[in-house]
Amino acid sequence: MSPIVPNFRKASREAVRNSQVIAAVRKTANLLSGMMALAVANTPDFEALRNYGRTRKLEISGDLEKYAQSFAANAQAAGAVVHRAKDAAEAARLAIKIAADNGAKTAVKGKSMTAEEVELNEALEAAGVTVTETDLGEFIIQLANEKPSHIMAPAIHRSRAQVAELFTDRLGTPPDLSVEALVAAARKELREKFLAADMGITGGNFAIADTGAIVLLSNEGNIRMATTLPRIQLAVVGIDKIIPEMADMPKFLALLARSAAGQTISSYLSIVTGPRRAGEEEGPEQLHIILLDNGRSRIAKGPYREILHCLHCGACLSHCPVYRAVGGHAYQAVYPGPMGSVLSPLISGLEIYADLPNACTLCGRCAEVCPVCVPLPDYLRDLRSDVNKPPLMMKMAAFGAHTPSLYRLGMIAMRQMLKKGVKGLMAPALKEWTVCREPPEPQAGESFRDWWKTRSHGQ
Amino acid sequence: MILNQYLAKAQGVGVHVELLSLSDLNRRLAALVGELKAKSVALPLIGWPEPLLRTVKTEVEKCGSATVSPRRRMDGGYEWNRPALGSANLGITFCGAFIAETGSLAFPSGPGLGTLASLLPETHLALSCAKDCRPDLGGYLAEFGADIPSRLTFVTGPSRTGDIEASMTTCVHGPGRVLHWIITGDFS
Ligand code: SF4
Repeated sequence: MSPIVPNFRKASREAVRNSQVIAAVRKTANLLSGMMALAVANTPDFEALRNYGRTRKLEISGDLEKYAQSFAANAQAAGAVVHRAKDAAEAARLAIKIAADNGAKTAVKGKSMTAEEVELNEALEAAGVTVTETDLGEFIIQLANEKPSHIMAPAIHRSRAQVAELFTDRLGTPPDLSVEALVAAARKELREKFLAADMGITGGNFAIADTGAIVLLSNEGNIRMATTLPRIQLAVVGIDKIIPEMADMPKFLALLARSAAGQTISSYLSIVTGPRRAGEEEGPEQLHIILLDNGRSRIAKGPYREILHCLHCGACLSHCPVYRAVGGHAYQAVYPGPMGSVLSPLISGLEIYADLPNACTLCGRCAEVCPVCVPLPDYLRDLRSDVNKPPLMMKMAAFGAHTPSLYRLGMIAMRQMLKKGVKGLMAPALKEWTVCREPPEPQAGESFRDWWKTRSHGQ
Repeated sequence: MILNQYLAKAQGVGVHVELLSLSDLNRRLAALVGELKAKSVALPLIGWPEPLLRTVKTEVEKCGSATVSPRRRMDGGYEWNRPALGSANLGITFCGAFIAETGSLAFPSGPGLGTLASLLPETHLALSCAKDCRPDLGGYLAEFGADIPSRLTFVTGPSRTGDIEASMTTCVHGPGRVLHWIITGDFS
């Protein structure tokens, strides 16, 4: 675990002032949400697909262990070695052991938020394995020694100029390169790593129970390289990624590709079923799959079960007014944005991420765009009541509102206070509320109750 | 007509797709190899309709390019000469199934089938027979039943990224240019 105690309030206050980051986040988030809207508009049966996705996911999250066992059995039958990890630490230990057992010193890695959750790079590096991120966005932030700030577009917070500067600094490229030239520089740099690596590390977008296959999407081709060239392949997959049958896959893929980047399908789709087979000239000699639980079975049994339906498309991040205002790093969590504000506290503990359920205006856009209808605003609201035992003042207010005579007294006091302005004794008590808003104008003339009284007397 | 749906989809994702007859193939190949100044061409040899492979191999060699193919080992398996493969400028593969719904080329793995030829070179040319167009991904996957290959790869357009300011840029790790020539007429 990171030693920093997350403090969203403080971090977000600093983040909103970083206009460069916010401009970069907005630009990309706007483009992504525009592409998604277009792709959804061009899919006449998208609502039906969403409903299918949600219904199917409810079946899965209702019986996670059954699907996990069936996936594991079928993947083993296809020749993969399946490891179950109950938490992040166990997953990291397993990965280190797999590398050590096979004398793997270098690894090329595809983007995987599950690996971030496990802090896999740190663990492997500490054990002497050099891990190179190969997704361009991940490669950029690895060079910059940063964490991803979006689950689909990890370097969303960096502008082209900043990437150019970073490449000049770290790779010795000429200054101020165009996007095309930056991409070409990364291709050259990473091609050698791919050809030399002992181990390829990936996540998995889906794991298919009835065949034991791992399904991986990528636009760049780095996933194809990592699953084809190195002699050892390791896939770290959360048990929430399991879907029952191969026949489900095209539908979930359709939901994911549209919501993530406005595509019908990604440039590359790799369905990996076991390691290289006899006579084949490509593919790893060993395929290891670490099935990560890390709280997922527990979450499946609780009131926030549907967060496990998340396809990690990133749409709720790009559409969230809070995410767009503060960027991903302010959340100080592996998973930022609306899905992260639910998932991060559930995985790591509400006491650590108590602020995150409040990082939400309850505007509801996330639930509107979510391809599997995760009720994110409801969950965020419920998590708030899990965090906040109602403070004394709120309890008193509730009692007052239930007692007509007290309510009347309270309203008289409130009117007096508003007329005089919020100062004196009440000012510190209301500070949280008034720090970023003006108190309401006091109502002119008589109160509603007084008016009502005269009105009924008049009749 | 699903072939038309495929053509529209594939063009939409940036594939240079053409319909041509077997007799046009020599001329088109010579032009492509010449344009790319391709010194070496990655060419898996398994799974092709015989006349198609013969035409391709002969024409590429006639252009003065070397071909790199998976070699047959003593034990019957295949292996790539990886350094040679890494320096190929063009990969030519046979694509036995392409998907109208998504505009995708399908490449199941198998001995000698070599999917790296469609990944490492900067240009990838896939050749198909018009009859091999499939309506959708689900139907194609169902054809395998329980017998799924170890790697099933779908290629939909060039390698691309939007990771820098969401500006779409091609040729990240895989080919920046994907051509798909669909051979019409019955020849296999
Ligand atoms: S919660 Fe829904 S919208 Fe957000 S990342 Fe997950 S699937 Fe996408």
